[in-house]
Amino acid sequence: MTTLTSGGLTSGVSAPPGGLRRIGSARWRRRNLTFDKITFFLVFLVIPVAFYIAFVVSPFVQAAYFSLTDWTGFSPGMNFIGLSNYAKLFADSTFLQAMGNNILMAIVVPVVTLGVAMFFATLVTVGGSTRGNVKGLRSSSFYRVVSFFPYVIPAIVIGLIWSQIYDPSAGLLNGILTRLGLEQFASFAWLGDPRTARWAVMFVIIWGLVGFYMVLFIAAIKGIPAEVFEAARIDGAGRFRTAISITIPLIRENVQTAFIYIGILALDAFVYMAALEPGGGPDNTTLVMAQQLFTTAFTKGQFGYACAMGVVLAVITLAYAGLVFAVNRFFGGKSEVGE
Amino acid sequence: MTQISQGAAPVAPAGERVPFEPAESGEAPGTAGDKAVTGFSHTVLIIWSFLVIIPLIWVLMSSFKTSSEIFASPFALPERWSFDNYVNAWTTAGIGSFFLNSVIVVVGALILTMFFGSMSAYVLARFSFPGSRALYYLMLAGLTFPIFLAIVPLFFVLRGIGLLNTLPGLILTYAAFAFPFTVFFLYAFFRSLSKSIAEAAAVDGAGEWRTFFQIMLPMAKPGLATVAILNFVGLWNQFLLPIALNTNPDNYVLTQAMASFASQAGYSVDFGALFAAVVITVVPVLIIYLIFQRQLQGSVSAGVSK
Amino acid sequence: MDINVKPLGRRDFLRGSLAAAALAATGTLGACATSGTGTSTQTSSAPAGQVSDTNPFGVQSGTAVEAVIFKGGYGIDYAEFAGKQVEAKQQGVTVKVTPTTKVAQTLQPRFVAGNPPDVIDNSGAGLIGVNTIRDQLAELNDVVEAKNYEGTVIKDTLYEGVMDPGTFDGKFIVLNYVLSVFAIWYSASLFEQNGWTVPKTYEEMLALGEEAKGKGKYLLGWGKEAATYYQTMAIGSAIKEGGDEVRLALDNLKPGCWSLPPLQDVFNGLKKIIDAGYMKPGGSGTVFTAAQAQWSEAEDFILYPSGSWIENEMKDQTKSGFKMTGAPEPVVSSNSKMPWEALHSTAGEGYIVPSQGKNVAGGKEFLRAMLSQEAAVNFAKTKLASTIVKGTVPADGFGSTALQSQIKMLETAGSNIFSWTVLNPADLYGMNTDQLVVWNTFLGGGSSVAELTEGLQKITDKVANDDSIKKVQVS
Repeated sequence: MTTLTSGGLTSGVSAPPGGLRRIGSARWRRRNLTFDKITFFLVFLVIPVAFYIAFVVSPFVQAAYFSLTDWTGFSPGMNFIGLSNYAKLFADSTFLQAMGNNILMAIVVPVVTLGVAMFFATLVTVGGSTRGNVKGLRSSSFYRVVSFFPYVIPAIVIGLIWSQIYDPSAGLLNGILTRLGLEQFASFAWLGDPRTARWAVMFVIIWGLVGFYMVLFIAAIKGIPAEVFEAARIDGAGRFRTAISITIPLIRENVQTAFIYIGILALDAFVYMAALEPGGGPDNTTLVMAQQLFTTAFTKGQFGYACAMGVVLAVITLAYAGLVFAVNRFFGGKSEVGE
Repeated sequence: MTQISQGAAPVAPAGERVPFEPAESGEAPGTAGDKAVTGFSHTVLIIWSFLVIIPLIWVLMSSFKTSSEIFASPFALPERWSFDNYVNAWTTAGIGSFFLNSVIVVVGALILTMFFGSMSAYVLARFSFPGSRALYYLMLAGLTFPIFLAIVPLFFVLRGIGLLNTLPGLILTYAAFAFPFTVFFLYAFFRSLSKSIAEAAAVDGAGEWRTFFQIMLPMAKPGLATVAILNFVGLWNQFLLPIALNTNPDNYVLTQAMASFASQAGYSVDFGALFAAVVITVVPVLIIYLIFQRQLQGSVSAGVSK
Repeated sequence: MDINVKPLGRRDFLRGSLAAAALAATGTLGACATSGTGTSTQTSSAPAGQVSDTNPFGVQSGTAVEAVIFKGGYGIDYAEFAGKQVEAKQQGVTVKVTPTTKVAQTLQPRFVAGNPPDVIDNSGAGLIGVNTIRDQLAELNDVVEAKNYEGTVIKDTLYEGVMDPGTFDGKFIVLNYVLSVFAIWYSASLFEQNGWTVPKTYEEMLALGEEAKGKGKYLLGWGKEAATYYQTMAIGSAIKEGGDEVRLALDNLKPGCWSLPPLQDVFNGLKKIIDAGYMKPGGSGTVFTAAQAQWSEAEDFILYPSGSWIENEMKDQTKSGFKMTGAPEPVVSSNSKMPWEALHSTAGEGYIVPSQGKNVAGGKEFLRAMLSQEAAVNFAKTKLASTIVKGTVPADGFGSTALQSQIKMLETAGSNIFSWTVLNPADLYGMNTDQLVVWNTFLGGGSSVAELTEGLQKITDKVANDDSIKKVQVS
């Protein structure tokens, strides 16, 4: 079933040519409503979705309603106050700062993580000889397995580990730096200096995630028929060009899903921060919305206000996903859902 | 013209394509440029591997040290290799029984969510009907809202059906919260399965039920395995949900016991025991991963592709 | 919308819209759904039993008391001890003690549902802001007016003023069980060895810093989560200097309260110490317990401002022969309104009895047990910290120098004991998180006194100007 001519490649494909065959085109037609179909839909869609709505969506919808109230979170009563929580929110400089931090993270973390992951995946898969078949590196499975380790460790534990490593006096990092003769780092507070804190925490998140996406991309690249690479080589494409103009377009959909999922994580980042910077970091440079939301809800007892923050967070996350879809489509990807 | 069948990538039956398999060993003597690239690749990846491994080894080493030793020097080996910290963590946190609870809850929720998730993802990917796009976004939305804002309403749902503070209640909740993730990833996967196979099945007279269970599901096995492993990791580490919904100490899951222990170890400044607790939590997941990693290597792309 | 005007109102609503859907889903699957209608609607407290001197709140036989205890530095064994006492004294009453590490999250839904436990130790990082639930708490005056298990009226057995931090707008609703003294702590042996004396003013502190530097040590240090311990010290010093005027301005969130001269003097004193390099750098990136170990174990710095829980907190991380000792917070000048010996002391570990609990009388009985001599002595002995019950610590402080000095400081201070309400440690409006940021910057040398003042004022003003936050009027 796979037919692939080198013609498509020599023309410098930036996107897979049309005619992709997918299954998502079956049209719902009323006259097809058989007993089989009805029960099928009922069991396959209606019940799971009802379950999902009852346990996940409806609590969230209620929380969204709370955002229009002055609920403390503990009282039985609450008053409807319209949009004033939202008005307060956009005048709250701390929250806006947290939003800015989150947005910076949602840009840096996905780009760096996925960039590094893609780079490593490329090294592992096509770093081998150019003679004969396209080859990967020796002991690539070792790199794969090792890189994946951090993903298995709970985020809270990753945070704990790194807060120890970053410890100014007894931490591993400064220990190494001072042994290398860099005495100025003797008591340097990586997590406590406004110049370094946000990069230090982003590094931890990236450290934790690169391996997962690397494994993802390796598997995806391995799914590309070898002839594609052979053909590219015959055409004289170098490694770099091959990666840019062949590999990435061919695994475009993986990259999109990866971008969305990691973006959701970067916009949340609560667990990492709870361990690394529970207080929001120096000058609040690492404060994220979820943290602000948490203290507002539980310590300050302004649950309605916290729910408004939650709604804003959800909207930003959805907007981010929409942006990723749009960018992908702009560069020639297919639409993300339906037809 | 050119056709790159995306379906071919993850799951096409063997023989229909020449899979691109990176050779694991025996690199042919290449050009000088090759050697440079290979050398460079190894260098970069070895540095990265060190970056990953050193902190983990450091944690392992620290878990054998007393707190004073940890403060005294980050590098020094423990004076004596004793399992005191482990014994302390194991007994104080009562890990044994909570371990079983965790297994029950996670496995139960996993089965449920994989079952529901694969069905819904299949329907969403296979059929286009009014509202399918909205449903997809609804799944996405479920991934974006902070869980702890939903705790109070969720509490009432569970109390309403009499499952508060019970393991079945926790299983249902876990399953529901893993559902959007499952659908989100499996959706992409089912879309990559060839339409022609489903059509062929229909021509053969197979109904939707049979098509799904006898044809699509077996084909989706690698993807299901991938998502199942990811879900396992996620659910095993879940700890926001049980805090308020599972307050009966008999029904505690491992993460709750660990959080409780870590909190106490933090107050009494027992970092050695804290590191030991970390090792105890991570090791089961690590073992599961090492056992199933071949599965994962072979299929992770399938789960998330296209 | 009112969740619980009628006990069933909210539940009906939920059952109608959500639980039904959940039931449908689970029921169809034949899963474990049992009954959607069987939940009890009990709201009233257990009927009161016979009231007597030995059963002052009328706990009824056959009832259960549910206690949810924060499991932190003190553990929960002391609460279990009290639970056993209740069971022994009140026939047929059972006590269930449940530990939690995140009080607010664990109990939030139960407060909303009108089904909270009978008594709660509302402490730790995850405590419920008292301001949020104060309408839902039972007044505890009858507890302190009752006779204890030894037959004395409880009120007469308590230290002076310990009810104040639990009293809001005239209502005593939080029983703070553990007495805390705020002081600067040091190693008596180290000081003796070097011939150092405890500094009584910020000038003397600066001088001591120079001497410590000569020995390769820093004067002070801090950890990122505990940077506001310096705020606590600063306010303590300023109140000694300026008296009630300072306290009331801060407690009532007055505009410009942080610019009062006594506070400014303290800030300037601290700033000199920071600028001289006597503060161990890196605190803003150090976990507070690790920072404290740098003081008690490694002796990298020699003075640490903290509450008296510090000894118990660091007991496994204290150098042998350290002789931890406390001294009152320094004053600014020689003509301060209160003497140097005046002591900032307050009670912590807040116990509350929700008024909606099933067994309010049982919850109060539990507190009565905790305030018995036996339980209080047990606590002091095992935790090396004093409860609010007087005379439970012998002169030798159970062999603890810190406990000894704590009792001595209290005696020397006499009636010069003060505290305040809204800022640390009570943190009524939850401002600590924001203040930490400002203090971490200041202690690290990253901001001037003016910037510190402005930052703190901004946080205070934000709360003061937010009408949705209910304020407590302090006088």
